[in-house]
Amino acid sequence: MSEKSPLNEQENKLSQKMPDESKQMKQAQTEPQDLNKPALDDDWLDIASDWQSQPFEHADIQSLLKKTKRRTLWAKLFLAIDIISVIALYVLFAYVLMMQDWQTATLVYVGVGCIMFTVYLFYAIKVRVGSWRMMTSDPNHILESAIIGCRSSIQYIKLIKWFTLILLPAINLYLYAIAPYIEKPILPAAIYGNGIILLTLVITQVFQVKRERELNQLTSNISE
Amino acid sequence: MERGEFSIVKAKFISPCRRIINKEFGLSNQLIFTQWLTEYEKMLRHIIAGFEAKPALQDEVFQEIALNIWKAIPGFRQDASAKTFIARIAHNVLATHVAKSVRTVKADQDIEQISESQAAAKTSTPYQALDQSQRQQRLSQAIRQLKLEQQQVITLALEGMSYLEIAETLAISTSLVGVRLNRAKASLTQLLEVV
Repeated sequence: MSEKSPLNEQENKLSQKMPDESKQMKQAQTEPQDLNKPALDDDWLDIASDWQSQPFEHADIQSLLKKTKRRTLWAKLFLAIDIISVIALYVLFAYVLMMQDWQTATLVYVGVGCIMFTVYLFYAIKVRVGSWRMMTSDPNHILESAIIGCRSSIQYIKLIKWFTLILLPAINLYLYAIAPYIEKPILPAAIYGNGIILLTLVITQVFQVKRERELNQLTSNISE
Repeated sequence: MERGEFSIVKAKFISPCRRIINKEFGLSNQLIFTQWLTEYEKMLRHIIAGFEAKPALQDEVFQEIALNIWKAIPGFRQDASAKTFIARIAHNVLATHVAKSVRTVKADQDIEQISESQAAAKTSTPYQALDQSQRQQRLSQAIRQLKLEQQQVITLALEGMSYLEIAETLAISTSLVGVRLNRAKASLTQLLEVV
């Protein structure tokens, strides 16, 4: 027995105009199904059985736990070192100000260092906390979160790079300014300082290129 | 000290102290991590195989998922299911992994397609006629060729999850799960018939 009410006819007309996905969603809503039962029906039992019986190499969970703890510990340790360094720098700055017998070059150097390290720390915390929260967030927004994470990471890398670039003349000026007051030769210290800066620049450049490539990939995926 | 007094001391002091020590030193988190990873390693390895072909990268992704599970344990609410919680983390890590390395994946697919056509030329047998390890390999390859949203629903469905569990894992409605699953099944059937 089929009833053709005007309401049904109207619904049929509407469903003909509906886009594919919403039309199928409507069908799925009207079809009675036990939502707590496995989503695949009996026709898929063989394939599901093949899937579930796939062999895999068991991981050593205890060593995995150790490795995982070590990784999180290192991440926390780096952040703690950053925070302690900034606090130490402020303490040093206060000490330098109070003692009043330090060189002006040292005073300016430590003062500017305080400001720059604070900005650096702000970004470091932002990037690390952001990545910490990302993986339990809504899966529908995971790619957007990944893009935000990637952008923050690039900003962080650029910050380190600029910070290091500014340090390059600053260190050399500082060494030049204090050279007359030091008895030891200044050249080894200059080579060491400049070497560290150049190495940091190379490493940050490599990471920046890598992150930018990832960002391009992610944004092209979103726009597809 | 009598037994009654001891139980009061235990309830009032020892148990809260133990809870605090466990919380502070992450001992309960270690137990949860070990228990979850032991129980759901199989599911995780299977899901990873549906997204990544290279064994070395599969292992890397597994470690990344383990790291994210470890980080997420303190935020886990007991009212949610551990299985869907873990599956959600795995899918988030995998979605990001696939999105970041799409070129590599596509290149792998091209290689796979070539080897597939070569294999098909040699043995043009239907899916059922292959032996189990060949079928498993073929199935994983076919799933890796699906769209991301289809890969997500089909891997969870093949793990025996219900519509509700898949919906909870992917934070979508059960109706949308139905739609995506139907499409995934159709595409997968087509891909498996190609053999």
